[in-house]
Amino acid sequence: MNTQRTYAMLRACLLIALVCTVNGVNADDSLPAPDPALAEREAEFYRIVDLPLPDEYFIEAGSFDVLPDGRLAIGTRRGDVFFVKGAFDNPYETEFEQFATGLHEVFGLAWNGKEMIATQQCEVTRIADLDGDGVADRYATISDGWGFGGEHEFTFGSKFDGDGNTWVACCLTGSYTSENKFRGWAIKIAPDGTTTPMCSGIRSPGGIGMIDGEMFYVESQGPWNGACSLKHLRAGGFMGHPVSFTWYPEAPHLGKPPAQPTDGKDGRMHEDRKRIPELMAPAIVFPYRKTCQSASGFAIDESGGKFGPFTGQLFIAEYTLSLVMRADLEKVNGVYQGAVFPFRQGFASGLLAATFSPKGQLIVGGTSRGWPVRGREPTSIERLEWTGKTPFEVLTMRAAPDGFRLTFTEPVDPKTALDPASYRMETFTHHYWRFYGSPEIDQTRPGLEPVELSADGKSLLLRVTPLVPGHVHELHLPGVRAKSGEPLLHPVAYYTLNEVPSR
Amino acid sequence: MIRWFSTLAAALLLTACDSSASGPADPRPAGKAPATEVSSNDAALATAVDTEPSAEELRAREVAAGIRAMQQRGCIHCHEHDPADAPLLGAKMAPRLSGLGKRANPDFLRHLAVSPFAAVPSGSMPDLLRGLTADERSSAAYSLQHTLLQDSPPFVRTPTDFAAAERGEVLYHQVGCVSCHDPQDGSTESGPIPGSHRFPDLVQKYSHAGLAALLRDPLAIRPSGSMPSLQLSDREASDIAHYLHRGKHLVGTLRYELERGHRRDFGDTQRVRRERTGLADGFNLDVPHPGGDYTLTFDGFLTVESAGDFTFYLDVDDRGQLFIDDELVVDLDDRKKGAKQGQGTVTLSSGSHAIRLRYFQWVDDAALTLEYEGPGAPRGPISGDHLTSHSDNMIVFKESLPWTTGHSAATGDPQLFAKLGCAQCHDDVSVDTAYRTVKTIRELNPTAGCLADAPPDNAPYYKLDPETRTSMRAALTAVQAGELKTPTPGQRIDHTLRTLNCLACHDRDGNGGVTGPRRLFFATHDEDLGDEAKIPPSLSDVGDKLSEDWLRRVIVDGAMQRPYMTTRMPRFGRDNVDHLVADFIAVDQPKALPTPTDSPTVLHEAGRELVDTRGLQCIGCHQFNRNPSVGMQALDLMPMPHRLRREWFHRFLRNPTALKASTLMPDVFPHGKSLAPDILDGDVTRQIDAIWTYLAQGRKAVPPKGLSQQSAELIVGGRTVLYRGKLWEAGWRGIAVGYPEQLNIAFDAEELRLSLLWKGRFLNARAHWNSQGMGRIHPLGHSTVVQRHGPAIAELPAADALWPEDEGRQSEDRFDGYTFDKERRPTFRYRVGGVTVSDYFQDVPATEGGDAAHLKRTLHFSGPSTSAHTFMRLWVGQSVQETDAGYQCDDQLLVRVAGGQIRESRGEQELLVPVPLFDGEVDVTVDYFWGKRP
Repeated sequence: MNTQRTYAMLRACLLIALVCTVNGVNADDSLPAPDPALAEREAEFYRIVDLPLPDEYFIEAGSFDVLPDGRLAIGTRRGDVFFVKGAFDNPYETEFEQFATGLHEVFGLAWNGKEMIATQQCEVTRIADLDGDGVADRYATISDGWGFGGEHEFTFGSKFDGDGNTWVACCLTGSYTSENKFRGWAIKIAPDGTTTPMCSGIRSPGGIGMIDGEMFYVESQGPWNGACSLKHLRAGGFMGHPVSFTWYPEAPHLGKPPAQPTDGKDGRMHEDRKRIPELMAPAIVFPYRKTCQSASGFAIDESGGKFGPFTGQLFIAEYTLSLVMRADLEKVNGVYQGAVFPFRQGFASGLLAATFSPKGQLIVGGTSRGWPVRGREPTSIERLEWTGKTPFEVLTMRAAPDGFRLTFTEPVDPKTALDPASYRMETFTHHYWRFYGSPEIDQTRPGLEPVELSADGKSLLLRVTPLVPGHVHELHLPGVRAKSGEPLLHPVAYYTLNEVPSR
Repeated sequence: MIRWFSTLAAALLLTACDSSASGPADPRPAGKAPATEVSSNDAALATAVDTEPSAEELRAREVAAGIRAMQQRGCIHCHEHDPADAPLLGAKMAPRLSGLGKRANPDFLRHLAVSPFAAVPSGSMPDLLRGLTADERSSAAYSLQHTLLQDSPPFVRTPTDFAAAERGEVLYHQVGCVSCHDPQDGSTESGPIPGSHRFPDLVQKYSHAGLAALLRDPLAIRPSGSMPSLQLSDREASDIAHYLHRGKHLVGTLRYELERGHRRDFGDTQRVRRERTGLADGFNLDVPHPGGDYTLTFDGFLTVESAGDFTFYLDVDDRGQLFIDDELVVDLDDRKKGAKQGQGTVTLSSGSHAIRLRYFQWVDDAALTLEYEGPGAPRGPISGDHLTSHSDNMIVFKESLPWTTGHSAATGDPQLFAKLGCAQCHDDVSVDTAYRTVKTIRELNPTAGCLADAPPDNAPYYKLDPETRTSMRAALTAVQAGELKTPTPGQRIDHTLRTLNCLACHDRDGNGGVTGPRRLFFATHDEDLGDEAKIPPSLSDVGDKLSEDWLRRVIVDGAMQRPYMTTRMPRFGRDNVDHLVADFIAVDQPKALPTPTDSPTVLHEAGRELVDTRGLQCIGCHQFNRNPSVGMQALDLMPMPHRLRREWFHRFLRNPTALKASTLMPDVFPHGKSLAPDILDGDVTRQIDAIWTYLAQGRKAVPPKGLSQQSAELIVGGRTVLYRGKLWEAGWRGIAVGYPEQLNIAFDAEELRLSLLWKGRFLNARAHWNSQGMGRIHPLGHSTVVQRHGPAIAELPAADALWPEDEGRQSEDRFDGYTFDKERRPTFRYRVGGVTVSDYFQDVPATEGGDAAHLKRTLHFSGPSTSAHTFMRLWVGQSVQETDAGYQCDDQLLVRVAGGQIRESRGEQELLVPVPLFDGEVDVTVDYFWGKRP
């Protein structure tokens, strides 16, 4: 047998495995079945409004931005940028204008006041309409300072950081290799084109953006990643997949590559973090299939209540199951961590991008091509709108020295809320290893004790004995009722406990 | 008119000399089915004369039959004739004999020479050896054989490939063979279809390669057009030839069957496709096999001399199974890759035993060894003496031809071919001896020579039956008396449609058309389109319907417009059918329409809206410029103004079913009202003109908006189109640009160089827009010129320094993007070393009577440059030649540039342009023309 060919075949198999596993499986039938009854209950609080797309264009949204004049900007997989008038009003009275075309898969859009900064697969480009006819006529390359030569080398671009820089997250060549420069890295690109590699260890990004003044990205399940997650792109950080260490010599300001992770059946993120200072544990793990299978773009609700009670929280789009998750992030001992909650399912296609409109609508969109998707439309752009009715939900789950402080969107019924039997918790972590994905391992079942119900009935402390640092704490609240007797719309939360606050 | 003379001459003489075609006066026993064109002619005559034909009419028919008989036998090939008689007597050309040795069985040739009417009972070739004894005839046949075959390679018999024959069977019954020949699949219960041409025993007559060559290009061998070309590919022709040769086995050591594709085990047939069968000389991998996964199954019979226990040893990489008398003896069908060994023992009686070995090759190494051991057979491979492919020893040729023995030397008179007069008809064989002098047509005695009741031995013997002879005498007399007249266009059309059997597929004015049992064989790839997609269109008023250009392309070139139809338009040969173009127009008298009053701009825009999904929804069913429609895939809209006449188009759109009863086309102007009343005031005439004018722009028409949803082809209409993505040759950072003049380039934004130029269609983004978007995109058009990798601009250390090797982008190099001009043509901006470049291409339309459309490239360089020797390389290849017109770069491009320098480098020639920069600026203009200039 010829070794080189065998290796090539092995790689091909792994690629196939990637494609199958990232999205769970390769047939729609085996995706977890949607829950129409739940979707119906969710619709009572958050309705999905379809934005009809024009016949003459095939629009597969890959990124969004909102222009100062209130037009929605859409960057597409087919390489167009559209401006949509009226996207946040009557959906049947929209006007689509093709601003730019001929780009290579636009997975990042940001308007800088006079030009559109678009992240294409090959470069970050400044696109201007110089003659004012509404159609771009100058495409200036800001930076193409990374290698591009592999089929899976997708690149995602952020909105501006505090200094006006664009960050790009460069997917690996496949799941296992970094064959071209800075594949697996996050790179910061200044408006003048200065290109600075920032972080290594990315596997396959799904979205990138600013939260709390810091850059974050969504990572996919796969090698060195037991599940999809949200990770903090701290300057100099290592995001977990060590194959991109090759490129440290090209980033001399970052010094030597970090130490190699432990790998194998003994590999644990929490342990390696102690040994490898650059290693960034996921801020929030999105347990596989329980919450999602392919997390993608995200947006923060800064609408000040127009979208309901979740101001400041994170909404993460999802491709395979065509849903949106909600996440609440906090910083403990200088490290980001938090909880993820189910939020809304039933979108029409696989979702790739999300943004908020000035009216507090969550705009999501994407396509269903290439990988299996639960949504039934080939492509869609939809608005998720608050109906004005507040669902009974866990609003936040925050770490406390001896447990979690829970807040609810409505006052709870003290009897059920203070009854330990209303709760159930399991903790687990994942292997931190080179293999594809991971089962949930090291499970524990801590003791639970709900105490300290606040006077307004919306907050309590759930004592957990013991907390397990490094574990996802999966909390079910089947028995908790609102004062009205209503059960929680989504009686589950998943908290990633990297750090325990000190007393 | 002269051209037409020869046309009709050939056309009149459709009947093939060695197939079963025959005229009404042929020597056939009553009751045998006549050939198609004969029955059609009879029918025509019958319709022409309602009841009792007059004496005059009877005579005319006799003369006509006699003329046909004379044409068929090629009288004028020997007998000189008056030019005025040419249209009447023009004779069919005999089969061309060059390359004969490759296709025909030498035994068959001798048989044909000695007894032509036995070899091809319906043939029109005369017996020229009649006065000779049997021995002399045989000897003469050898001489002729020697003359014709002396330089030929040996006649090769090929074992029938049954996998190919299966494909051939489908083709034979699909592409149009059965329009004239009988179906061979037993599908017609009533047996042969009346009117079919029957072929002789093709196994006896042809080698496989010879038959395939005939099918591939029949006109090369038989210029008369009676056997038209069905535009088969080499492989299709070979497949049909295997099919027509089926049922005849060649005996060998083993039969094999080759299958392609992966299988999990031998029982798994899901991804396996039967590829080929043939004969193998043993259990080995010597048979030609494809790359990738394949399965070989060997079948044959093992002869056992002494009964006893036999052990078989099988050694394979990757899998194998051995069966003896259908019992599984060795089973190495496990799913792992790699080498395996196994053995099995069976008790065998003496005699013949069926042996079958199946072998599967997966990736990498391939190996197959089979050995056996038993009474009287020490361990080793099974020798060929003990294997046969067929237990019943089937013979290839059932009848052996009687004269194949006893005569081997090529002897006799080398001039015999000429002396006998063979060269008079087979005039592609060059001879240096003249045929004897014979009388001219006008001098001939109608009752002597060939036409005598008992022809003399020195005359060619045609085995004429009395009826034919009588008609030929009548015809000859009429010709000599100058009684016959030149036919009218209508008569010529009628004659050609009947003699070439066009009416087997097409109807015209109620004559002919697809009927009866053959109808089953007119099929379609798209059942949604109904009968229209199966049955070739009517020829009624075709001269009024089709443009002259398209009419000629269809009739002469066999152009096909309906991809869903399985039956193909044959090519009959220009000389045989060209006259139909003028004759159809003369008879059908196309009508004209006044020019539209709206301006082209108005019509173009309105037409674009009308064909769109929001207008009359034409693209809902019709393809547009080869891009699929939303629903059924009806005929492409774009070529319509090129194919059709405008007046007919108007009439058809106003009432489709009136012109085509079977059409599925809906009425878009019901009761004379448009379904799109808001366009052009709903005026039907203006709307049809708008559609017509819009489509008439051809590929320059801006595509309808609704098309972009369905299609991934990027169509360059009136405006330049730019596409970025993973491109072939231009790389992952490739930028392709399609210009309205249907000229295209690709720029590599990684290597900062022009990498491709091509003409015609731009790109299809399917690879990127479907599924995961993997793969590279290739140019869709033609005349693709690939520029060499490596830097396009270099600062050389010295004027004669070697051009730097391709090392990819250097650290100083930058791609800075592009800007568009008003027509959306990009100017690329980039930096190479210290040199800043702007690089602009413009498509320049063809000038009348002058240059073809070409690309003009304008480069602006600005410094600083560190070298006095900064150059741009425009070409590197085998040759660059300076001509008056510019620099000829191989045969691919003509490049016009001021100050070009040709130099040798690494054994090749380069075209460089100096860019003398220093701190200044330099402009360079380059014109690229495709191809080679005389």
